[in-house]
Amino acid sequence: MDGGTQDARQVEQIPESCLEMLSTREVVERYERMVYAIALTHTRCRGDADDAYQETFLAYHRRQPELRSEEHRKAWLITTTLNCARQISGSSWRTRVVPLGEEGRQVAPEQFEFASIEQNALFGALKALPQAYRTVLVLFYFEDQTVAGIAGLLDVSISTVKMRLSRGRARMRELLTGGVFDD
Amino acid sequence: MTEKIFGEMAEQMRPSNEVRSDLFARIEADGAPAAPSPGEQEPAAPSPGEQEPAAPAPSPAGHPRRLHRWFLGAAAAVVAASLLIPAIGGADAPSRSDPIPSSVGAGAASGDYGALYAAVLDASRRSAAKGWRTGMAAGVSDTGLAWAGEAVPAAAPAANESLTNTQVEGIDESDIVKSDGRTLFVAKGKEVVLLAAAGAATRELARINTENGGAAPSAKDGLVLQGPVVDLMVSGSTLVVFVTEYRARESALGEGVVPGTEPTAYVPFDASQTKALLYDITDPTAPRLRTSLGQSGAMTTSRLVGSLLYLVTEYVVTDPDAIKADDAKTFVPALSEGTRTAAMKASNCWLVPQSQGPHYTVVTSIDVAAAKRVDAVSVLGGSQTVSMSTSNLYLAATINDAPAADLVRAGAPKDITSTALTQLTRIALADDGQLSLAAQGSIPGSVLNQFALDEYQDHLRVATTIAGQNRKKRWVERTALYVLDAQLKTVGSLPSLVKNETVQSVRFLGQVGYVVTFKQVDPLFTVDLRDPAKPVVLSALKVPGFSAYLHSWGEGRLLGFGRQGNSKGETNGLKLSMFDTSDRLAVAQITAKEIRFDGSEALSNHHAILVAPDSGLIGVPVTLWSGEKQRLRYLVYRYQPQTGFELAKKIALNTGNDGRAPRVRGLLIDNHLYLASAVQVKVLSIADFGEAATVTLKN
Repeated sequence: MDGGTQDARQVEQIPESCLEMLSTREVVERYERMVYAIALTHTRCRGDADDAYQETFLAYHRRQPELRSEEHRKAWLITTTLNCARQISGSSWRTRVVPLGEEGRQVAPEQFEFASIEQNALFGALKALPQAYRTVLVLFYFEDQTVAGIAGLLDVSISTVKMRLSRGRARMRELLTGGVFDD
Repeated sequence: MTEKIFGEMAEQMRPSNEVRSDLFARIEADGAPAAPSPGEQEPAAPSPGEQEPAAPAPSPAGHPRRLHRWFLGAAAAVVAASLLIPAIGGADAPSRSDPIPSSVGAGAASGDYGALYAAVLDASRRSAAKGWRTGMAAGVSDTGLAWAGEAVPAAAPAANESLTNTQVEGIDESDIVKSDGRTLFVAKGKEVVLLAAAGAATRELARINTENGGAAPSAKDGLVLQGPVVDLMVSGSTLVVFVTEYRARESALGEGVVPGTEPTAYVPFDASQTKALLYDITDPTAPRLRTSLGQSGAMTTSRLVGSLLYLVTEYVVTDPDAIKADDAKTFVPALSEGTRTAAMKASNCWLVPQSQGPHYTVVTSIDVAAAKRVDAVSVLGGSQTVSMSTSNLYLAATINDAPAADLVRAGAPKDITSTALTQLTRIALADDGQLSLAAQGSIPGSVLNQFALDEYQDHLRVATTIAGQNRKKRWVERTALYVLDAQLKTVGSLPSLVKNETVQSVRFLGQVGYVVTFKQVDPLFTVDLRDPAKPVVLSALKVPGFSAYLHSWGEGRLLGFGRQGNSKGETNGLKLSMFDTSDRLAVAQITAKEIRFDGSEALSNHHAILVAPDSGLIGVPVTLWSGEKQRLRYLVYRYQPQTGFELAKKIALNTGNDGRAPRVRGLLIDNHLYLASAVQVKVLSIADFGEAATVTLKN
């Protein structure tokens, strides 16, 4: 399904084969990794990611949204996770508060750690991107969304998605060849 | 990046078992969801193309959200910094432009709280509707996160000359390390360390704790916290210390939650005000607070001309629900002196045609000698970049969703769509410190940093990168140069200096501008700006890699510092370059020196590099990763025409307790080189770069 071209309120009967009746628990099991990946890359620390992950599935459970297909379910979860992560990260413009360690350096609340230095470096660089680029890169590379799919999810034009992809890639390249470890 | 790594990472991104079980427990506790009856169905989940479903409200009593303990009374919450926007200085600009209110664009009238209230409310609604997507402006210059201020690069010391590497002579820029030639001032967390700059006898004299006495935060109820020292400035016998205060967004606490009773709750903190603390340092062993002058918002930058200090902050109205029509303090910035606070007068608040959200740029002038604020002006519209000459202060805001009509009016190229706009505002600076909004204008593209704007002989020169989609739906980038008059109308331009390259660095030096762009090679363009209506490209020099920073090195010489590159367009390592600019039509690279290190703060912050053409010295801090640790070195190069760049000394510096490299500044004072960070101060003699003293700054 291409979210961008789907008409809003189609009332036709949907063949059952397009949407499995899953219990919330089964939905969690199927989409946990996807939701958590988006949560992790859009919040500051592990605790916040945990919160966003839980709030997303709780919302799914409570609202029982009317879905037209599996693709639609996936899209609903993606959009809700992004919203939760945004709300949790607070929308204070460009400022964050973190605990103070010694000598005035910030001590980050517990961060998620990957297995290898390379993966952690990539994650660090990703987190250092402005959020607009980061979302597009995460959806493209981690969730295998198409450019059109991303445009639909974020309600922006395809050209904007492409622009953010290319800028995001360029910025990642910059960060990974030296910028991110400066200071 | 190979595709494999994404799959490997994705597999690992799962919550802990504990978190998952907790979720299942909560789902169980909720019970089976009521099966919706035909008439009362939950409204169809909007397809992703429509309005996003609202984020779920915090769950009702029973499962409070996880809290960060530090919120509840712990001393140590600190801001992890807003994006620090480098300030701009202008080139020599002798004449003063008179304020011309009539040229200000439509809708910029102020003077009315009612109009401001409506504008802020509207801006809040618009930005809320767009949601988080407009949170981070894509055009913000990438200086990265700034911690406790920034290091001051040292220039060759003269009696009153700033030891900071500034863009414009005569305009000092704030930084994390400052000196008046006798005393060193180093920002360290919430403290400022004062040291005697005495060569081998360098030692700590005193410390200022910004949380004590008159400087203390305005409220002690756990809802107001103070961040670390952001920046410093020295003027005569006064040290100005900038700190930012943060206030918890109480509306986010939710109803019925009282701090201290609930075990956990999440609350965002917003930068409520930035204070300039003025200390008398006639006796550096006993600094004395004279006054505390605050203004709403987080610090953008500060400049000093003579004894007039200009402070620029960015203030966001974060809580639309708290805006009340009859209380100006809820929708306009406030100014404070000591503990007294008052909302800014409506006549000092201006609106701009395109505001990207409910944020103000607040500019104040402070007479440091008299320890009094002179004037204040705020513009509802915000800005990402600030540039200053001795006569004017320019605000540049990147607008990403400008309507097509505005793009056309600004002169955007017709063959590219969805480009950004840079909205410029000129604030005239009078000799007595009075501020007035003088002009507004727009140009296509986004500016890189403060060096991309420069005032010269009543004209503003700006280099931008214009990026967008062309008719074939391909992504294109273009470098452009604009020359604007005092009314900020474009009088001359080079709309397409080069295609498919972005601006990496700019330096305007009088009648000539140097622009470095980059795709695979690094063309250094020399532009003749003698006729404002007809800028002309004189030459283009191509070298691999790119210079992130350009500095004049005497007559006919230009120094560049940046990244090394190869023929494939990949960058690795750093480099120093010297260019011969004596023949503008044939600028050539004389020599270059490769520096095999990962990175340097100097790539994004000109304060970090020390350039002293008189002594032929260049100093730069560099970092490299060694396993899990970061190593920090300070490299001193000597440049001589016959021998080119020679590494004079490589100095190892300590990292912090967290294993990260702190910011370093190098200062040349008398016959010594002082390398100062929040961790230690190392003193070397210039003669042989032998170590004269090392002072560890204990916590």
